[in-house]
Amino acid sequence: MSTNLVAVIAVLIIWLGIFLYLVRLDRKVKKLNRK
Amino acid sequence: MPNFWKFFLLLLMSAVIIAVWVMEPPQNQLGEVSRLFYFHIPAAWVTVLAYFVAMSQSVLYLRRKELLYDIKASSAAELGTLFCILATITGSIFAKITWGGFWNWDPRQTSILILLLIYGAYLALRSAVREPERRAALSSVYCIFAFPAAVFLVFVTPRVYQSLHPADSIIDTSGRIQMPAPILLTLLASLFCFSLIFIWIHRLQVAIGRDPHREGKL
Repeated sequence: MSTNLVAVIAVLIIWLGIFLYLVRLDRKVKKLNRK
Repeated sequence: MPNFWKFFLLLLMSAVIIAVWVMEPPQNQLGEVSRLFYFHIPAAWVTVLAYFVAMSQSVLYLRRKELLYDIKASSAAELGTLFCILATITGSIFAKITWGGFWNWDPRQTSILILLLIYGAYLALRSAVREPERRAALSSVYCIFAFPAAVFLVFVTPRVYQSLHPADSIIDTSGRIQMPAPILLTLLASLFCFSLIFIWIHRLQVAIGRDPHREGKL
């Protein structure tokens, strides 16, 4: 069960990283569009 | 609220990840590794979806001769190849546990390798032609012919030849969905999230591709 918990947290952190990277990229693209 | 769907995606994908590990493995005889099923099938689904988008945008380019459609087609093909690599990696981890080796030249593995080579050649073709209109025309024609090959390699070849890959893991031979409701629901949610992630990255790629000078500023 503890291995499973570590795996869930690791995958959640990876997913959050991907999500935040996409949000950051989205904001930059929108900012450049406005210029 | 324009960003509502992004927040919804964050929550739903997080819920899928938690559900995948909280629930029993979908195939008990395979053990923990069978949880990869929830990521392997959506990756394969997005591959076919992306190659379909690439083909339809290529048709639109040939009809209207606007470079925007070419950018949409090439972005979709690049993403399709990325998801195809993900499906191949997750599939080979399955293969190691169930068949004893990461690569066994099973018809399913061989057909996915040929698919990767076909779209690898598409990307090589694009990088070999400098003139944008000529590149767009050549790669559009190539992409239109590549998609039927993709459908054949994904859906037909593994069923024609004897394959160790399960063909009836979702729908059985009588055409009925054979998995329990919680597993099916988690799989459908995962398919939906993967599709949204594909649409999001594709939109970003197209926005960046429309102005090549932008790439250095990101």
